[in-house]
Amino acid sequence: MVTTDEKGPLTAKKKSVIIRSCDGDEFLVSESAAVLSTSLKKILEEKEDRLIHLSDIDNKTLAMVIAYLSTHADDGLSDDLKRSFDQEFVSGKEFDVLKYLVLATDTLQVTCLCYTVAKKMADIMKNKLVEWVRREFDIQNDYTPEAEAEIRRLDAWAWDDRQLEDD
Amino acid sequence: MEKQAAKRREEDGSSSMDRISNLPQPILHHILSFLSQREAIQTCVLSKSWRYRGSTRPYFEFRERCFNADKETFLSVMDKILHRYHDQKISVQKFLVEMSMVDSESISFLEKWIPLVILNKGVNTFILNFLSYTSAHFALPSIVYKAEFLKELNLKRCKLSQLNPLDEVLFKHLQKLSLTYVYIADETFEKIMSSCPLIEYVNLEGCEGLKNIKVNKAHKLKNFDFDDYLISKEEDGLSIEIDAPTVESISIMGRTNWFHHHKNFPYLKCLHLENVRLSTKSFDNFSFDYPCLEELELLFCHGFEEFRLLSRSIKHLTIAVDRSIKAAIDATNILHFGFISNFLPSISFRTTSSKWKSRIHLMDYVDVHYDASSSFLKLNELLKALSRSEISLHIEDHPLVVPDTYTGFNKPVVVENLIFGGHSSSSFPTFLNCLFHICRPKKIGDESFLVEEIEWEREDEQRAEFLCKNLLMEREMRRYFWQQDLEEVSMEAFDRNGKNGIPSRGQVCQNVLCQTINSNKIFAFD
Repeated sequence: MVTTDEKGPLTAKKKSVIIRSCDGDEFLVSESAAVLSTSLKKILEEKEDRLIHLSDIDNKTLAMVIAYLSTHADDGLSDDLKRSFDQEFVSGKEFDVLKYLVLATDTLQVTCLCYTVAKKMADIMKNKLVEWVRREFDIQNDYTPEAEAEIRRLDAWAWDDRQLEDD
Repeated sequence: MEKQAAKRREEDGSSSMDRISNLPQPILHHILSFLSQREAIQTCVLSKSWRYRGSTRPYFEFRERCFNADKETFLSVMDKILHRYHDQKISVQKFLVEMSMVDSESISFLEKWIPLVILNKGVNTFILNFLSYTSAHFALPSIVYKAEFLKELNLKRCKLSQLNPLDEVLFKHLQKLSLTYVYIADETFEKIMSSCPLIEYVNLEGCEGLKNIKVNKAHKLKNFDFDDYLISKEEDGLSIEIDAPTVESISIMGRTNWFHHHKNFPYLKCLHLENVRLSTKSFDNFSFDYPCLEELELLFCHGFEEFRLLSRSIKHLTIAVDRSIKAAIDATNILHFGFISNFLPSISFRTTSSKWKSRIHLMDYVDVHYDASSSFLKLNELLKALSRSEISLHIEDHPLVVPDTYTGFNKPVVVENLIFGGHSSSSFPTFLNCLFHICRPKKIGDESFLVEEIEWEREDEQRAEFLCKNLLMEREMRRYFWQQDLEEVSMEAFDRNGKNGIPSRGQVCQNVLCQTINSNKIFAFD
């Protein structure tokens, strides 16, 4: 059982863990940052092992998640600063980068970041026509024109251009 | 079902080459949850693998005002979608319905579906709002109390039924409770509060039926907002009692008695009280009761005509009163002090703060017993008490009667900003004379251009002209004693579009709609 309590001068140095990505690179992370991920917290509670291997998260994505965790573990930063960091964190990122991030945060159970990233992905799709979404994400329309028309007919209200968008 | 699922997986496989479709369903549902119901439904035509995603996301959100059809269609569309959820055994996590009016059709729709949505267990957010001011209250089915996974309950114009002693409220996960124009009795509110140990946020606005609000043993409460600005038919107002050691922000607006004696709020950062009855003793143990309080707003509260306030934590303090008060304030770390009234107070201010601002806003002089010369003396005293801060003085309307003799004033106090408002009158020059005996502004502005809607009237132009003439153009004429102290005066003028233009010396301000006499130094200071 690992605790985050620091007792005596011997353990005064902050505890840290090593996280290895699927590419084999290793990252040194403070324990206070690692435990912000519910999955990592569980692993650390279950075994003494200081090395955690994540077989499905690549270097680039892991580095980003760790940067997020470390910032949020910093007690010196105000909540406002953390919020603006979050906004900054997802702004300008490509959809594919966000996709790996959302998968990683889902695996690692970092609820806040998962929310921020999913919201950002939705913002990219918001107020866009179906044709735009298909083109942007390379979605092959495998419906026949008749089948598509039938689906539109079933929920005709959703295709009424007079509908206003919600806030 | 099995077959269908297998078929869907097959279809997923065929289109897994694109950039989004192969994300796991829960993640896609999460992403879709940020879209409107309409946009979510539209994703059904993207491709076959998207056929049921948008229509099976566990979020049900419909707003009548966004729905461009009649109420019947609105209800039938909602009915159809809820049927789909019900048939496919999808539990709704978020239920949001916003309508204008309660009528028999909406009642039968809600009475049919609310129990089904609640009994399906999954609902964590329940929002039911009726927006029309003339709408009747919708009697919420008591089955809602059984929603044990509920985290957020938000109701507008609903009526919460009286609970029997045996009725159970299963809100053990509830974090956020927001009731607006809701009819709720004291006992029901108390029972709900005592059933939700995790409650963090309580918001009560314009609720009816409440007389004594008690929030006891809310050990996770962070925010408490109460707003009763319209209702409160009670003669003595309501009473509010909060026992929540973790609370960080309290806002109470309305005729209420707030019982907080012997209560200590170790984490309270923000306290906003408006129209609340306090007592002189309310502030006696201030540093002990509110050791972390940073922001205190006391707006038109009663019962504390004379008080002492001692706090090391306060950074922002705003007091608005409709009577004269006497206060001794000792705020070591103050950053901003605001005072709003038509009655000049007697305030002593102590602080070790080196850079702080104060803003004095004097409203219309409505007091019939107004005594101009004692009023100027009081203003002089107030400015002196705040003289170590960067003062902004806003005079909304100047008095019609101004004393001719000026005696007993202290040395003029430096004021960063002096702003005039209201309507000008012929007594303005005398008033200004008097004012410049007690303060020397660095900048002079006019309210008329701070507030966009204000019509620029002839009187305001006169004031602008007077200032422009005597501060800038004809300052050498020495008509007034203060003109000899004038330093580098410059003027910025704006037209209605906010365009900046400096009028030439000869140009009288006739076409200038707004102005600031703006210089680092209007006056020569010692």
